[in-house]
Amino acid sequence: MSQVFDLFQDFKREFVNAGYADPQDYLVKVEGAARAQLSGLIDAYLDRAPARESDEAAYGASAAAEIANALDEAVGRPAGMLPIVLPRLRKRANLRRSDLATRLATELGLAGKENRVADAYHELETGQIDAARVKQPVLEALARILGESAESLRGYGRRLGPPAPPPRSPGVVFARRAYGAKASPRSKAARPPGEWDEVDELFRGGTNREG
Amino acid sequence: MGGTRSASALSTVVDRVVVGGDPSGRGLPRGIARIRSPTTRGDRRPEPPDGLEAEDGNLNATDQRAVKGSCLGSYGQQRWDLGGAPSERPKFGKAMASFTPWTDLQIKRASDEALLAHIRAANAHGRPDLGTRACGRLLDRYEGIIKAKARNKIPWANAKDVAQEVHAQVTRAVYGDKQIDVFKAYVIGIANNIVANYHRDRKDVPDLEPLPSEHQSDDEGWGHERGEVESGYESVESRLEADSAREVLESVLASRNDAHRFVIEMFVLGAAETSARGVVAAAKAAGHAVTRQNIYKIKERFLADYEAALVAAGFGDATGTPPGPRGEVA
Repeated sequence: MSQVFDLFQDFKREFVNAGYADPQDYLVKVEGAARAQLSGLIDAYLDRAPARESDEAAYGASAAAEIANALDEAVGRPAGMLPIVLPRLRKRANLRRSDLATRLATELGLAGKENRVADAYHELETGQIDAARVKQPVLEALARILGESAESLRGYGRRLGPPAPPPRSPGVVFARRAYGAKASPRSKAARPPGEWDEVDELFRGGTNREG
Repeated sequence: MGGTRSASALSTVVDRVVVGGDPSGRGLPRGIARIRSPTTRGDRRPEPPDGLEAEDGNLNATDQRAVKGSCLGSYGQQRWDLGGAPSERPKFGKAMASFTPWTDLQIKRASDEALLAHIRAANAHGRPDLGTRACGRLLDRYEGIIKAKARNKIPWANAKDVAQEVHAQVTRAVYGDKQIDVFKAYVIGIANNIVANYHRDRKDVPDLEPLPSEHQSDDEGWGHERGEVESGYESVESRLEADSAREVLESVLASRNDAHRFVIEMFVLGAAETSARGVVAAAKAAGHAVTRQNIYKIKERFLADYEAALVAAGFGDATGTPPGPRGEVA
């Protein structure tokens, strides 16, 4: 018991001093009920622990900084947070983009159009599609594949703030991580004009209630 | 009246110095010199858009660095580096006149709820980009807690992945209209849910794709193999064990009276450096009469009872691998 409490105190000290401590470093030192006890104490402490102090060096490498940087590019854009969230959800589901597209085509009953669905998904994931125009069946299919609710995906697709201004010169090139992703070789631009198919209808045919 | 005369006089000075061709803008208040001097130097950079112009002029150097560090890192770049007639300029900065982004120091000192209000104010003024820096700092305050929670419950968890999921969900709420009374409680609630789902999602994804080690590109890469145990430690069932252990703790804590709970909260679950003397003083201030000796006894008894409750719940004893159902899966 004393060993558990000593480890617990050590964990708290490291956590406060460094802004983070890995519980596994402490849990591996005890077994059975002692380990369960230490784990329970750590979890209870974390609910009560103070927020960490701002640390410039640590912030640069943090997940929070990554999200904030991505937000800089997402605000005002019609894809909302989907370009930030979709790649992470796909990673969580251990799916390559091509695998996801194949499953998405199947879920949408578009067998044989996997390439078109892959193009459209690529554009959705890279912020080239207005998320408000994506129809519900697409979101529901994605939700099933990615383990996230369709409502949640719709929420992530909501634009943050007013529309961003369009580039003022057609010659301007922006270095964007998400929105500057390479266009798919079979992208919409490469297709003959007027070739609006059911994939376009599903990914771009919805009503944009945001105007 | 006096203000009008002052403004008029100032305008005269501006016209004399700037229009008269003083390239340095000397003789002008700093803000005005900063605004007008690029044009008067013959610099071809365009003036900032309406709304931004006056506000930029009013920002001190620290504020301007703050602005560059956040929103105008992107939009400000467009504003200064691109050409175009006034009519073509973006109107994104129109609302800026009534919103000033905080400096790093202000953000650092602000409470969670004040930061949240600041971010939402930026959004309400049509400048969500001005809130992203504050949002990043706000999320960062709880990143250590989120990561530790993930690692405590799931030994094989990628703590940064979990943190990103929590951050994304919290960000959506921050920029949405979700009512958040106590930010910390909200974040911890989200973190607990996501840690639970993380375990389920990683475990239940159908095995349709090749092993991660076969994918190397940025588009395809990911972390551990599904179910991979980091450092050879325990099985995925440990998360369930951790949750149960926490439930047992809460039940033991709930069985204590108010004074004992107060002591346990401070002396056991509080900061490591909390002194017995400090607990006595705090308890007294809260209306609980405890002595230093009492405090140590309360602590020891709580830990002993907690351990006994865990053993009774099937976690085994403190010295070896436990028998029973949990022992079989661990």
